[in-house]
Amino acid sequence: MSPVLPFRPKRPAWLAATAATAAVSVALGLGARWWRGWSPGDWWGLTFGTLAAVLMFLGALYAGRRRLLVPPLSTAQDWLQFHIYGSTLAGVFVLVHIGFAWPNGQFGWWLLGLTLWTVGSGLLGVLLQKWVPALVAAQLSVEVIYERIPEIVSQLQAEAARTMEGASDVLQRFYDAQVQPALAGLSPSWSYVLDAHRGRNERLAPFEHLRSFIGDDDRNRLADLQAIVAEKLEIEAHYSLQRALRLWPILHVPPALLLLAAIVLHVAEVWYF
Amino acid sequence: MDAEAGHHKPAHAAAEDATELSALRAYPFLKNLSETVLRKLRPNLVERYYSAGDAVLRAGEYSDAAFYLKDGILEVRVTAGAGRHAAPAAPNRAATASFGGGLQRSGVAADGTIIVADMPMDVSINRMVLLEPGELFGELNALARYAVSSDVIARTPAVCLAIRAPALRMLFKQKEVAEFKKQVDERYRVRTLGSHLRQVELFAELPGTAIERLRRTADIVSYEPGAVIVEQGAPADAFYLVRGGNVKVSIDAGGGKLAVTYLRKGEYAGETALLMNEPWPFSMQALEYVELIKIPRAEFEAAIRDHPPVERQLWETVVARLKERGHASRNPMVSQYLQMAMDTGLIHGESVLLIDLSTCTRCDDCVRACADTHGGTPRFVREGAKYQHWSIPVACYQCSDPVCLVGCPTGAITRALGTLEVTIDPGTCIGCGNCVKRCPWGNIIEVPFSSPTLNKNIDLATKCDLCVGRAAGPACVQMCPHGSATRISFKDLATVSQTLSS
Amino acid sequence: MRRPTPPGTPSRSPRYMLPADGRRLFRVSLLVAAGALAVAVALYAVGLKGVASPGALAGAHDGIDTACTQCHQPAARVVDLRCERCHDPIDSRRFESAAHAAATGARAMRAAHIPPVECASCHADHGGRRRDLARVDDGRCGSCHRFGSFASHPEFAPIRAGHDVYSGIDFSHEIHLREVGKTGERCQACHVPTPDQRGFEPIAFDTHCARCHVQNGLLTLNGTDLLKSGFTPESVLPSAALLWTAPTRSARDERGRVTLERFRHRDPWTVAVAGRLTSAIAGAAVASEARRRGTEAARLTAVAQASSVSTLADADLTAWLELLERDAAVADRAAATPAAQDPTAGLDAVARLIDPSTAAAVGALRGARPNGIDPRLANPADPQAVEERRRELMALIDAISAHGGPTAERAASLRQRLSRIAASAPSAPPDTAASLIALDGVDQAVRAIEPAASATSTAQIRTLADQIRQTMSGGVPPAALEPARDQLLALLAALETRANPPQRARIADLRETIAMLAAGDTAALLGERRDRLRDRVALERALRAEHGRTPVDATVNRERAVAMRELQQMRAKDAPGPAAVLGPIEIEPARGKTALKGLLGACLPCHRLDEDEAAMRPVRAGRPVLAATFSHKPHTIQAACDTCHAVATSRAGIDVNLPTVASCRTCHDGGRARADCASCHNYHPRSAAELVVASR
Repeated sequence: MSPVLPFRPKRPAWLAATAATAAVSVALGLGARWWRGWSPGDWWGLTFGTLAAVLMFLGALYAGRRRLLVPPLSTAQDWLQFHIYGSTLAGVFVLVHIGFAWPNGQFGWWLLGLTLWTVGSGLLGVLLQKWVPALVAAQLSVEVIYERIPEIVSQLQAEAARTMEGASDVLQRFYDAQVQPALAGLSPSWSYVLDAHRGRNERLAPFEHLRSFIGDDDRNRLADLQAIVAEKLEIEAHYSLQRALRLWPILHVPPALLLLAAIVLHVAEVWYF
Repeated sequence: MDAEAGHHKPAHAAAEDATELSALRAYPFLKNLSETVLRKLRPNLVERYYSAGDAVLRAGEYSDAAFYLKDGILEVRVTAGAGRHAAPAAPNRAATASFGGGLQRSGVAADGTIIVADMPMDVSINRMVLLEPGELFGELNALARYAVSSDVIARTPAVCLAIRAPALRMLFKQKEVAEFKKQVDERYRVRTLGSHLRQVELFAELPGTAIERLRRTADIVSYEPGAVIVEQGAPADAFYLVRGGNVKVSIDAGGGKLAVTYLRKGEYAGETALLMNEPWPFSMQALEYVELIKIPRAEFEAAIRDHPPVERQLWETVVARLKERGHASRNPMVSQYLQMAMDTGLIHGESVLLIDLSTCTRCDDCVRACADTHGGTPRFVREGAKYQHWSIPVACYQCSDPVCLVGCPTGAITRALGTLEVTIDPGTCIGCGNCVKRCPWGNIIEVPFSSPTLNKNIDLATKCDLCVGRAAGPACVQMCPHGSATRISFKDLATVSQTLSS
Repeated sequence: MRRPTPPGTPSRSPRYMLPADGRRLFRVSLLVAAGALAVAVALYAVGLKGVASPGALAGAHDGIDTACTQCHQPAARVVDLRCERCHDPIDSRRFESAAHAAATGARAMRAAHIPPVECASCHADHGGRRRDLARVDDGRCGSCHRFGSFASHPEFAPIRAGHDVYSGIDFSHEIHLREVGKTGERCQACHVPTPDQRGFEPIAFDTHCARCHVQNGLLTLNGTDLLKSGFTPESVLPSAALLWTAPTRSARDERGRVTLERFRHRDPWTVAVAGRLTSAIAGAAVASEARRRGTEAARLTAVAQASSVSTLADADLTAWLELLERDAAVADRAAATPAAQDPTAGLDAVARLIDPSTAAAVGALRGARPNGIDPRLANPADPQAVEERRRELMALIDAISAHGGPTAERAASLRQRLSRIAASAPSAPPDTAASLIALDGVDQAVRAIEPAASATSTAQIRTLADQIRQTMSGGVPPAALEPARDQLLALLAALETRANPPQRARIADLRETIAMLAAGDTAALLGERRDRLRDRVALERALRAEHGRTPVDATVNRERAVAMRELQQMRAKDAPGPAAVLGPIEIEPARGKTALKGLLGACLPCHRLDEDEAAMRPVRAGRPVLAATFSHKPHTIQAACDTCHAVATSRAGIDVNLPTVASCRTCHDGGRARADCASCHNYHPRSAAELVVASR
């Protein structure tokens, strides 16, 4: 699988527009700062700050869009793209708004930190959501629903037990020592994120090794067991990868909402004072 | 089904056996058959009695039997708005909508006449159309699984013999019946072939005399499933027009056959070969029970050559066909998908849900959207076969000729005229499970349900209904955040190549 | 056979699969975020106001800590009065622009209409402990002065104005350099640096010039030739002997004129006689100058005796606030009539409190209202009245052009300019200002046309311009105002000796108001001042209740000390001069000017007469430019004097030997030497006294 292909933008025109807008804003910000000094409360600073806040709130509506089916306003894909590009742009606007200078007080650091974390985790999510499906499509042939994995694994265990009927002792010992533990539980691993076949050869090597020591009958059984274990490995890879995709929102959503709360507080303060 | 309104006498064992058989022999086309054959046919032959006003067949329902009218007068009636429905579009096909695309009828003629494929004559809103004893109708409905096109109501008390599909096939094979069949065909030829030919775009401009000639010289041939109709490389000697059933068109490639396209009812093949005077560039094979109208070469050429506008249109068609064929053979992926679709039966579907696994993040938003639209229960499962990087989930394919419709005792499962979606009405369904068993892919699933009409808990049959009534279309497609879900029809080559090969 | 790995799902579930509820994470996070918000608000409400601070306060403001309302007024930005509570406790308003304060005449009027810049827009706090609040970015200056940097600084204003402001001496540097050079010395012979080396000691005749220009105690031109006067009518010379030795008279000629010789520098006898002549020629001018200095002294006195609102007790504050509010109500009621500006209203209340016997004096005072406005000019900015005045001016100009000659075209253009002056309502001050500025221009132009011979016309024009100006701004003619004001000030002084502290504060406020009453002040300005004072007192009361008193004694004392010093210097200079000894003399102005010129003949080789030729110009040692600060020290140690001052060819004292901005830029380019605004310019005067002096 080409490493570049999954990261191609789905809307290159939007990417170009966002990049151009970001570049122009940064240039404007730096220019204004050099020419007449910068304050976030200035006319310029306020514009960028307001734009950033508005974009962030609109982007947050995406979370609601996912659930709201009525009224039908474009597709979820459009909303997600807007969320990604809009929020990244909002992040840039925040940097321009503070004049590319370090914050002055504790609250300012909270705002900046939350912004950077949210945008960063969001972009990480984009990367993850492009990479993992492509990886799975290229390397795994089995397809499972996350919630059914335990059930399917127990089906595999039953199938392996059935295969073992009438097997020789050698094979039986092998089964007890290697196959049953392999099928027993799920051991997710982050290394699957880089390569879904990682460790597969090593874990299937014992089967190859045993092949030469058993008779024909058993060889068929062994081949079947190997296929079952291979399938189980693929399911394990699925488990790890889908779990990674499900854990990511925890990184992104709570800080994002905290950020929105902080923005509300910030705007209220600026207004009040 | 109202067709059951008339009571019938099922065949019992032994004592009434002889009586039965002699009763059956009363029918002219059964007269000369041997006893063995008759016995074989007997389980599928049912006499039905109707009072005046009873409906023998209702428009829109699916029937599994042909009817031979023994006694009485039947009226073939079509309701006022019914003729206006356009068939679902069969895009990018050179010959379209002849005898009505996926369903039963096509356009309305100037005098209100509607051509139907399954009745022995054209029907009209303005005229009363009556069937007299000796008429055979509904055989296409039974064999090719069409929905019934019109209401057939008994005007007087009537007696019909219902011949179920298995008997029908066997019957038409018997040489004793050949005469009868010829009569039926002759009747078809006289009454309706002319107007059916007219429905073919190519012949639309032909003058009456040419049509008449074609009508007289055309053959009506039928093929069993899997039978080869023509072989690639053989000299092209006829023009074929599909009257019913599906025909696979394939070319030889690398030792095997590469599926190029397939022909449905109303579509035709052979004009290119005849025009260009070349051997058959492809093979044709019957996918199921197929009836073709075969026009010999000489007649075809005569009809075309005499009329320049028709010839010009023919050339345009040819060019389009060549492009399509060239496209398909240039792009073997499309052929692969097509082959896969034919092998798995996806080709029947008007709208198949596909999920692109290379962009799907397994977030289940599609399932949630489906559940939210359907009161908390989704209508598909995100499981199923996988082809390359596409997943084909367990979701109704909205077949053009749905098998699930057959056998529904309450008529809860229907496809409204001219629409794509096959829907199940929860108020009418009794949970018998027939449709669930019939679907070859298990796309209908039962759900516990408290039926308001029956006042008890049943297992309601549910299936994907394309979110009928939803303004933005299917929820699954709209709500996928990565645009991984699409719905396509494998019959639409352009979409196939655009979507699947990218 | 090896069992294949299924493509797709290994097995089918018989039922639909409902996915997990994805909303849970969102709902929990929303709850957490809302909770955090609630906690923050609760903390703030409870008193931990540090939650709302966007950054630490500067070290200098440590005392404020989290007392937000010391500076902030909720739902509004920082209001200047709150800064001034600590930084300008005597309400001298010196934190408004100094450059604007230093403007005079028309420029002052223009400057008054520029909206004031808020303190916080240049000195924003919450920038961390180490922020230097006094330092202002060049960018802030650039937001009004659009030339952006020193590289595009326009030419210095005095050079652009093209006329000398400073020198009353006609002095040729060329000659003197040559002569002094003969002795081997250069600039340092006369220009002696001050101890801090920022500037130079004023040049004193006795120290510097006398070396060559005095011989045996008598003035000479070049060391040998004694200076003589011109022809002076004997009738103007005092007949009796005065205290001082008179110069030697020469013989009388047939026209009754004499010449004098053997003068000393600042010859007291000559000064007395000249002074008497000046009073006769231009008495009004002399008087007005005296009044102006009186005003200035009054204002300085006000500062020197200023007491801060912060020092008053709570009860006194409340009482004063009520008084002010009553004043405001009274003023509002009386606003319709032109007699609205009556500083005596408050005076009445105070006087009664202190000494009922003063009531009569106050009453008499109030009877003689200071608004003796010409009834024809009663209505401020009455378009008709203005029109009349304009027609009169036009007539004058026609008279001038009737003289004929080269002045005719100038007069024509003047007439054009005059016709463009439109009368505008006083509610639109900028237009008023513009018209007045235009009038000023006309005034000057007329003066330029007219030689001294027809000085009468110009004086009349100027009077008319004055009247129009006052009318258009709704003010009072000076002649009517002065007597009333003097009385008021005297009364106040008497009251003060018997007043207690709150009353003293009140009196100080009144004195300030009266002292600032100048011809041309409007009722609106006074009302504004009173409102501002009321706001200030109310603010003090509110903030004191919340945060206690502010420690401003050091600031107040410093302001008073500086003002006192300035006052003493002024009084020293204004000591009654020799002219007071002689009685007045009656003489026609034209003849008086000739006589004066003759009398001062010995002085005129060096000294110059003013534009009216009624007196000698005061000699002011080169006053430093007020709009900028400059220290000679870093410059003199790096370069010679003539690097910047091109005096080798300077022949006249009116040459402005200031270097051009281009010469400064040769080093001040941001690299070799600083070129930011703050290194030369002061926005604020350093003290209230400096503010008074600057608006001289």
